[in-house]
Amino acid sequence: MFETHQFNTILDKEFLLENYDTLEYLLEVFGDFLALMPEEVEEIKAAQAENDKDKVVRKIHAISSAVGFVGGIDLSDRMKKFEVKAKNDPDFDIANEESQAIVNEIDAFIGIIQQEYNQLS
Amino acid sequence: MSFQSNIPMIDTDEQTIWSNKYVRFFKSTIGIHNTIDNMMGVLLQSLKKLDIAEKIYYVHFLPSGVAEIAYSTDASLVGLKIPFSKSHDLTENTFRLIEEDIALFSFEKTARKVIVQAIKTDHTTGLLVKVCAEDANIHTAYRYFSLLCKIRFEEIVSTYQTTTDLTELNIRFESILSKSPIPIVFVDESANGVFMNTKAYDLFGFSSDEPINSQKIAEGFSNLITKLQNKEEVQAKMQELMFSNSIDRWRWKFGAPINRTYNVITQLIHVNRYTGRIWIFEDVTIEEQVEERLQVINHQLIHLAEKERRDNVMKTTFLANMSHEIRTPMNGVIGAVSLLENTVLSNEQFELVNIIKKSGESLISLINDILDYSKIEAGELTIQPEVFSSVELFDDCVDVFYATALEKSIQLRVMLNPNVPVYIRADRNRLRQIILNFVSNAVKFSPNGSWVTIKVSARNIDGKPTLSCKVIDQGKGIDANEQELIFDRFKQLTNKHSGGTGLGLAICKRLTEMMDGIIGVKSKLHEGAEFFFEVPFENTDSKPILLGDLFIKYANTEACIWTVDSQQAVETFEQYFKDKKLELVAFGSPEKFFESPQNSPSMILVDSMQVKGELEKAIRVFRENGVSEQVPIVVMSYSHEKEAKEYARLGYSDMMIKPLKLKNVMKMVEKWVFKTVVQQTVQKQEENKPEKILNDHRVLVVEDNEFNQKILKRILEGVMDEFDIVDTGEKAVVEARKKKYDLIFMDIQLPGINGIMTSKLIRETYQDTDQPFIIALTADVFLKDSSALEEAGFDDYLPKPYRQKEILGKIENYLQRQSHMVL
Repeated sequence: MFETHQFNTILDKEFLLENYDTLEYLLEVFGDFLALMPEEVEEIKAAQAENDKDKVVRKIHAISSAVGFVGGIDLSDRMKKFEVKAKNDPDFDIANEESQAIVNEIDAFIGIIQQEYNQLS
Repeated sequence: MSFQSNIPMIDTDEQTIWSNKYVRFFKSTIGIHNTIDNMMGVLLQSLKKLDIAEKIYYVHFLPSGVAEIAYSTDASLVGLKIPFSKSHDLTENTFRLIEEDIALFSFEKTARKVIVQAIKTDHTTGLLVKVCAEDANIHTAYRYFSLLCKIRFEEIVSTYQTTTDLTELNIRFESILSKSPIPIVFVDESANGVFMNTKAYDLFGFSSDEPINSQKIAEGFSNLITKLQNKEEVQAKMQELMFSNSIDRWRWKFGAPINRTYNVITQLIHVNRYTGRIWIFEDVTIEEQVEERLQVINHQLIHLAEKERRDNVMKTTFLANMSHEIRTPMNGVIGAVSLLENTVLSNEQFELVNIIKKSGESLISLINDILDYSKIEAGELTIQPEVFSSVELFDDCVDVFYATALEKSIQLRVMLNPNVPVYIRADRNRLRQIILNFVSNAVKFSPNGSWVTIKVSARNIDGKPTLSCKVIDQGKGIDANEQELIFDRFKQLTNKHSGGTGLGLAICKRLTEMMDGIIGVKSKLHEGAEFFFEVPFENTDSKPILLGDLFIKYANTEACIWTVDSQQAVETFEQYFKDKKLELVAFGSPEKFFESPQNSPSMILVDSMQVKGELEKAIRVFRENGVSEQVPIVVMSYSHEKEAKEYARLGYSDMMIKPLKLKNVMKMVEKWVFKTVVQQTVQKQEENKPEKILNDHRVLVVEDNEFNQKILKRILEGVMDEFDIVDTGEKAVVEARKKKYDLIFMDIQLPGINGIMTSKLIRETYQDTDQPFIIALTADVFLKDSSALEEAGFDDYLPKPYRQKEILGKIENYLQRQSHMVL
């Protein structure tokens, strides 16, 4: 079990404890996340560089729940808000600072999951 | 150089003779000849003395193009017409010799030699014609002489014309300036050329016959300046003339006795070597008076505007504070009701709680009206489009007023045209505000026992999808004169007991305009009123799901629903049953169903109001006439009515809370005609995993994200051995055709066809009685807290990221319950 583990405060420990009853299970989930997400983020960055707003929004939507599943509830919510804003504003520049910032945040979040994975392993 | 043999050589003496003749011609034509007649006389007579020609004349062209002799050495020729026109090539000749047999140009009976020379100046073209004897010797020396004379001729004519032009210009200029109502003074640098027009004489106080010179004008200026009210200012500006050529705005203000204000414009004129200064005195007395008056008015207006702005700020602050004070406890009420809503409640309690909540929200919304108008006026209110369910919007509005309406026995109904999209994108809150306002007024002004109808449809206006809404009441109507005023702020109808701020319709009008829509009212006295608005919206999809599409699954269901209800109530839904095998038969009383042959009913709906509370009797009529006990009879009643509480005791199978809503009718059809369980709002929270008792059931997961698939897979593995996962809507439809699934977890945003469309296609695949439960899984925040998915055919919804226990709770709720259900 991992009740005593000090998680990074960015993660919702309660959610993790509620959803994953064993350490092995949690490690498996974190492992899957780390195996799949970096590629997704790279695709978002490429779409940003090509100014492909639809693709960026679609991808952000697709991984927002995955971020939530590994405890990034706050970030997941912000990604949803970003998605709504970008979708609803026809003039939204997908290469703007806000957009760059959310992608950087996702990048940093993957780093945090990696650290947690290493520590828990 | 060579000469042609037929050209006779001219000796030098001959050349000298003709050269000397030209010199004499030149000398004889020097001097000022003040009229054209004198000038022409001198020219022709001088030439005649020297030339070999017998007679010489000058031809000019009349405006009609006719050539006429204007001047001649032979006075008898003047006025005669010459047989050629201006366009004739003669006008291009510097020297042309014509040997004529007939007297075309010579006006003689015998043959003559005629020399024609074109005379051209900047302003005129003419011909100089010389008539010579037949044997006249036109040799080269003479030709040179003649050409030189022609040039001299042109030079003098041209000079004369310039002089004439200048004289005319001078006359025109002086006459214009003299008559000008503006005093004008001109003094040249040498002070020799001075000019003052009549008005300037008056201004300077000179008598009209008084001779003027530069000194006199200088004295006049000094004298004028002494009379100025703003003498210092004018003198100070005078210094600027040392550095600047012109001053444009220079006010000279004269007190009594002149009492005028002039705008003095002065400009240094510098052309070639000539320099002078012009002074123009523009009388701006009236303009200045108007300007001063305007300035005073402007100051007053600014002062008033500033005062009004301060008052408005105070009012807005006061209103904001007041609304905050009212809203705070109201939020407490709504919060508490929301908590109550999440506890275990019966259908009736749930509806009542829902009504309290929505009415509270409406109260807050009304409080905000006043604030809104201030914001609209201040340009601070903006339109905020969002995606929402059209059905939910109108149902919510009816809920808010149903209790008020019922106090007057007024029934509310929403008639949604099947062409209205399930989801639309527009400013939900502002539309709601307008609808609430319309419905509120309709309820307020309708007589007891009447109907208020909300008709909603969609149509294209100028290529834009537009939501059209009409709220129709049966009140006393509105006079044509009042209709024009009704949307003005603070205007209310003559009914003094109407209450309200008088801002409602004005806000609606402004909001509609802000959404690029239109608003209006149609009414005749004593015939009710129809308030309408049309507002453009955006579709959420290129092929939006329409309300009519939700009923497609009933198209091939051979069943019949009997309903005992008023015609008005039936009208609300009957359009959805048209052209479908699912039949709706309506009568005003139970007995009527048995007066003619009818298809056997699958379900019977009875409006408690229609049978005037005699529900027991109604059910007895059906049963006694052979309707099987297996046929469910559903009572439609307002929640407060005692029948609503006792429906089970009275022998009814179920109850439907009024006001009737499309989604509630659909639920009843699903539950009693298709025999499927309708999900209740309350979720049972189970902490323990269900055992693997679900092996008889099939579950399909439609999810495109690999990570999310893995999460769901692990959860399902714990409770069942067999389930399928696909990553597109297309694959899901294929799988659903191969196997019969009991439960489907459906992601909404999928590549290709989305989850909503996939569900629709799957529903079409299955028999009506075999429909699977479909639970939406989505991270789409638009769909949170919305019944929109339910209307689109989903049984339930889970937001992502979901918890394990939530998934297990749904599985247990649907599949285990189904296992125990008696079909």
